[in-house]
Amino acid sequence: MQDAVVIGVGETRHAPRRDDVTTTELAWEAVSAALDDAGVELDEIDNAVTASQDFWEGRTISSMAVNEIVAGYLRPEAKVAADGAQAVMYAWSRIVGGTYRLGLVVAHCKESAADPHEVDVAAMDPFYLRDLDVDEIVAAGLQAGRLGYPAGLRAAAVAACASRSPWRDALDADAVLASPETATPLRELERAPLADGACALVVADSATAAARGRAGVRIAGCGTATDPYWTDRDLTAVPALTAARDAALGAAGWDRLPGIVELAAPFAHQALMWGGAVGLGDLERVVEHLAGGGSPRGGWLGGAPGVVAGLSAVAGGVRALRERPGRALAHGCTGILGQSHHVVCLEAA
Amino acid sequence: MARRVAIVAAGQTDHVSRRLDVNVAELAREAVDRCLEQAGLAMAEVDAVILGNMEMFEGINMPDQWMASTLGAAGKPLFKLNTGGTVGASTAVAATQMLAAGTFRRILCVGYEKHSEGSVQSAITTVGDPLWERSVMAGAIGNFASMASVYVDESGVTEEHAAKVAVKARRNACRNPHSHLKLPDITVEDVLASDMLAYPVRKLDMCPSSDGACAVLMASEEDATGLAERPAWVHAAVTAHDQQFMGDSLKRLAEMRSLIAASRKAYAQAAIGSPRAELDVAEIYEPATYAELAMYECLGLCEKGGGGRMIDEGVTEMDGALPVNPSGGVLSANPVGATALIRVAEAALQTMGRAGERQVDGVERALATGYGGNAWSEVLILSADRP
Amino acid sequence: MTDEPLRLERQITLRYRFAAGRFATPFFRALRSEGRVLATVDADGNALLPPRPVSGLTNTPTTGWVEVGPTATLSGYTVVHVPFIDPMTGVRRPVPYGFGLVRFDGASTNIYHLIDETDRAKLRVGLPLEPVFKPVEERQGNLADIRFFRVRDGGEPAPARPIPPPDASDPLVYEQKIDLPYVYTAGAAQRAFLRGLAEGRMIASVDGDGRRYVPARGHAPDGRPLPGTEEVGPRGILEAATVAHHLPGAPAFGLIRIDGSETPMLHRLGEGAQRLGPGAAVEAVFAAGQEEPSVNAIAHFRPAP
Repeated sequence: MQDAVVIGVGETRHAPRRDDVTTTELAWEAVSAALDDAGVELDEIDNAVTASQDFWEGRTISSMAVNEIVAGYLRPEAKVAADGAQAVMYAWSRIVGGTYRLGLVVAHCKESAADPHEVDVAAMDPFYLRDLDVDEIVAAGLQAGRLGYPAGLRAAAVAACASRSPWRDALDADAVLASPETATPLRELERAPLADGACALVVADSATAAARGRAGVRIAGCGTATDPYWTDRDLTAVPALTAARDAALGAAGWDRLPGIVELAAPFAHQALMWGGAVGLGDLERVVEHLAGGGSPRGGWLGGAPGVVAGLSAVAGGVRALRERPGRALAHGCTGILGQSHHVVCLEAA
Repeated sequence: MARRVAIVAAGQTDHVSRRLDVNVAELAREAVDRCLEQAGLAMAEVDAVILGNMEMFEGINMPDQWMASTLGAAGKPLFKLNTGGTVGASTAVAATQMLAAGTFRRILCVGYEKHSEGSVQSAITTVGDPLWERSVMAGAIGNFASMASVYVDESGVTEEHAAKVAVKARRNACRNPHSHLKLPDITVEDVLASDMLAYPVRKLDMCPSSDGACAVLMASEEDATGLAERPAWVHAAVTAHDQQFMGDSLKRLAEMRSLIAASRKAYAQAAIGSPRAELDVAEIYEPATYAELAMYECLGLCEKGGGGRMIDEGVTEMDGALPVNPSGGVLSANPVGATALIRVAEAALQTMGRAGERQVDGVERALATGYGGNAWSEVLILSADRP
Repeated sequence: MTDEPLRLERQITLRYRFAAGRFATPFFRALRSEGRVLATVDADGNALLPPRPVSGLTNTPTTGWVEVGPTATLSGYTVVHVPFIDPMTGVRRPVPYGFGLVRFDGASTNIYHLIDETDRAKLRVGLPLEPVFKPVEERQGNLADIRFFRVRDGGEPAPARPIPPPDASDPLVYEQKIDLPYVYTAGAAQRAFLRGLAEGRMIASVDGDGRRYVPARGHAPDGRPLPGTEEVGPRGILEAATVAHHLPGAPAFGLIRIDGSETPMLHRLGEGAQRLGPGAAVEAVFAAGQEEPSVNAIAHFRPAP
């Protein structure tokens, strides 16, 4: 079996609106940056795993837009309709099993190009929910109500993530609490802002990385799990996250959480809940973690688009470990209220 | 050393034009249940599920999340792939790669489509690039027929050749209980008398749109021999894509670049020097009769321009040297999200000796292909021998 | 109650803003205002149309721009007899019509377009063509600005002509509305539930141990089949409530556990139910005169006495 090593990272400067580029051009910004970072030519890439959602892209088989920029001509490209962190798991398997040696993982989304309410409603059960015209914000309000976390702590979580983020202006908790009400008890700024952006990794087997003089950051293990649909489960618990975490830690052979844990949660109350579920401690400890060095980029609340947030978390973990070797755990989620969770363990000696 | 991987069971629904009794999730579950029944396994013993389908065709965003419980996948790792018509094969390719890595030991691949719930024309719009490919459209048939004319021009295949493929498919389908179309008495004359949809493609040259699902259980070597008497070992699982736009290839069908590339790589991986001689059966993804003839050539089963002669000489008939599509092929059943997985399933059943009335004798090696997206291809080679 | 098939006809309307970026913007500007056709070239001299940042043939960024055509050559053709309603315009194109793959002279790739010829005998690969444009004032900056291609009478095809990179500033954004009609076929449990609602009744699915699931569904959350159904009372316990200020009318919604159900159902809250706390009793208020089975057979939930 091979080791899979991240030798290149590229990411766009996520922004509320990128009207200057097509999806292809946006993703290419991230891919070309990752290739430059890795010292790899596009033509050397032997496979790609991409992550995008057709309803956000307004296109069936949305990866068609990025096939040429990931060396897809006569080579394999596979698209997961999920957060980019799950694409990492698939790409990791391809390297570990020796199928491929030098690949790209790419996630991209232009949230400004779609109507988020329409995209959300289309994910609602067509028999029982669609006709009520509810979106994910409604679902999140119900969840936040059940959790009952103090508004001040939720606001502090947002402020902490924004403060870490390279893509958002700093925000204080008061501004969050003063923002318009959405689905009670939530406020508008408790939710990650919509964004356009892309992120890419170059992943190699260790022999290839070594031959290129790159130590890289090893993908030590990955895990993914899916809970039942949001109306069929206890919204105050997140077993899929603990299952994904345990699978990833088990694959990595780790017996505890590392110091760097980057979660991608779209709502403040989820950052708090999932922080607790992944093992960061009580709510106050989670907020401290989000504000401190343990969360390099601020996760989804930091301003990456949803489909990209988990891959961005992985990229953040890689960058952090390049500066200071050790271990990091990155996370992404897919589905309404985080129905599925994907965890990636990273290690650099 | 990467683990060896095999297909150990397969299940399908009976494909029809409309399933009015079940919702789309229940349709997929039906195939899952049939597959697990063949394997003698409970869902609790499956490690991961890989689902293939195109979201805008049935109008449910993130359908994998919505149907996780109905599939029996809640609590498990669940992946959703979307690569167009090839997606069914993509799930098998992904499973092969994850099993080889030891990420999981038993993976259930599921493909499904409920065409009766969507509008094919609207769905086809969404496939096109929004800036370049939506303002002037002629639907899937117009696009395909434009490609087919180039192949006809270059190869000299006639409408009779194509009609023979249609007859082969629909007669083969009569021995397949799952098939959507079964036309036991169909003749070449019937095909030539059917309405011309878009030159050169006639109605009986085209595949149907079906409601259906397929599930295939794959396992790594530790489990494979315990789960099937005669597993179908994966000797090659190759994917090749193409450039970005639909018109980029000058000879999209006549020289399908992705299929030529993928098949050559697959033959090399499986140590096949002469595919026509060394393969015992093939299940190929032929969206229309002309495509099958072109694919014979792109797959290297005959020389360029030799597709017509292959069908004239009966090479690919059930009693020929290399039967192609004993199941009746895409021409007889086409639930798009499942179609490529059905090719894999049928090739596996042939290799496992479990293809019932449509079983070809003495299958040791089988070929399965997927086609879709922007003329993308997937090629799998299965064998009764462990690699 | 009948068990005839139940199919819910619904439409999803999706609105998008597609940015044209650095390559499509100058292409469509040139096409629309000047009738000129541009392409990008790669390191091997392939002229790629549509223009793009990276050539898949070389796996390198494209290196520059050329002008091609406007004459063209037929690469593949058909005559279509199947009526096709253009989803972008709703207009049904009269049949038969010519269609095919068209290569602008000087380009290495094709586009699909209409051909002004319906006699198949007159079409062949290699036929010289020329575009017929719409009048300038009717053009919209897409490939339909070319009405169709027709057979060209003579004239040598010009090769690709290098041009300086065109101005890509002030990029275009195209708005698109896609109407997608769907027909959602209900399974047995959904048929029972939705038809039950239409009759003012609440139907649960039941498992072998008597556990109930409302709304009715074919499988439990853990995947076990639920073949049985039973009627339950329309009362339940409110688990959570929210007022959606971000939606028009600020509707209130709640998760309600009907009569001992393992799972909650989502619905609107009215008549003061939105002010209730978790654990309060609520009941369904059925709406009169619904034309077909749907969850709107319940108007909302209100506090239960």
